[in-house]
Amino acid sequence: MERESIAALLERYWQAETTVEEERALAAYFRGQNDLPPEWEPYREIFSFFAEEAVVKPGRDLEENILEHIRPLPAISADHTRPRLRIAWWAAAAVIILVAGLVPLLQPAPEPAAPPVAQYATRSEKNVSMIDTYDDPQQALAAVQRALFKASSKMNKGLHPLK
Amino acid sequence: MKDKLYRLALRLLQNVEEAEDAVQETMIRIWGRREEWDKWKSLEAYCMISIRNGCLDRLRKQKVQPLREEKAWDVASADKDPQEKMMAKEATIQIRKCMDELPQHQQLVIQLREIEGFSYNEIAEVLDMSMDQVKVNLFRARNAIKRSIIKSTAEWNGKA
Repeated sequence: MERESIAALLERYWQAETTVEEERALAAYFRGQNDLPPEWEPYREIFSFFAEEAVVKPGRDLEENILEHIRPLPAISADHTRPRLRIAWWAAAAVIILVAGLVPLLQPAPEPAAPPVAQYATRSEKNVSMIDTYDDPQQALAAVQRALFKASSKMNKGLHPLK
Repeated sequence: MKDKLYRLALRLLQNVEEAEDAVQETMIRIWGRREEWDKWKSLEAYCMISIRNGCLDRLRKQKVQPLREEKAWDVASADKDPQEKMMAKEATIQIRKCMDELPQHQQLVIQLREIEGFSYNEIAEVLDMSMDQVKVNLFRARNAIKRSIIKSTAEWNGKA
């Protein structure tokens, strides 16, 4: 670059009117020029000083310390989320199973197709009450035993593999 | 990014450990707010503002005593003969001394412009100044450094 143009640029530099690019060009000129006019020698020191300051860096430990603090964050949040999600799924599944299991119990029991001697009070009355079904206690006992035996045989189903 | 933050912190705190602590604290805080990054106009400007505020807080609250450590700023200049090296070292010390004696906002303007190459707009944003204030401070700081180094060079040449 011509010395005159550098002089003009310098003048604008001291007036704080140069652009960043022009200042870079000035710095490069003073860094690379060996035969500077003596009155410009102090300026070389100024531009050298700024260049030296621009390469000052913190110690290596700083980066490691920062990374130590910020690395675990995504891992921690992921670990926290997964078990929570898993618990939620299990809870939902448990509720479904529970509800599915309760539904048949909540439904009214179907009327027996042909009750041996079932007799009901008049249905038109508000309070439907059941009257005694068996006259003979022996018959009643036999009926209960049959029912219990039938129920217990169903209940034992599926337990075999666990034994 | 962290180097720029560190240099600005070092300029303000003038203490290596304090500057590193301030950078670590600022970067962790900014990382914690990473979901907001998209909303910020400039992440770099935001970081620079944060470190400036963090350092000013430290200076106010903890009363950090600037502890100038030459080693932190020292960069070897291997391609000079011993006399030139000595002169360069003297000049560096003189310029640094002059910088340290400047008002704080002039120091920061010089730091951001001459060392980090920020535009006037960026400096105005980081330092919360008008463009005119940035220019005035830069003008005064540059000329103070110029006068100081010309004076010192004349003294050294007179002695030599």
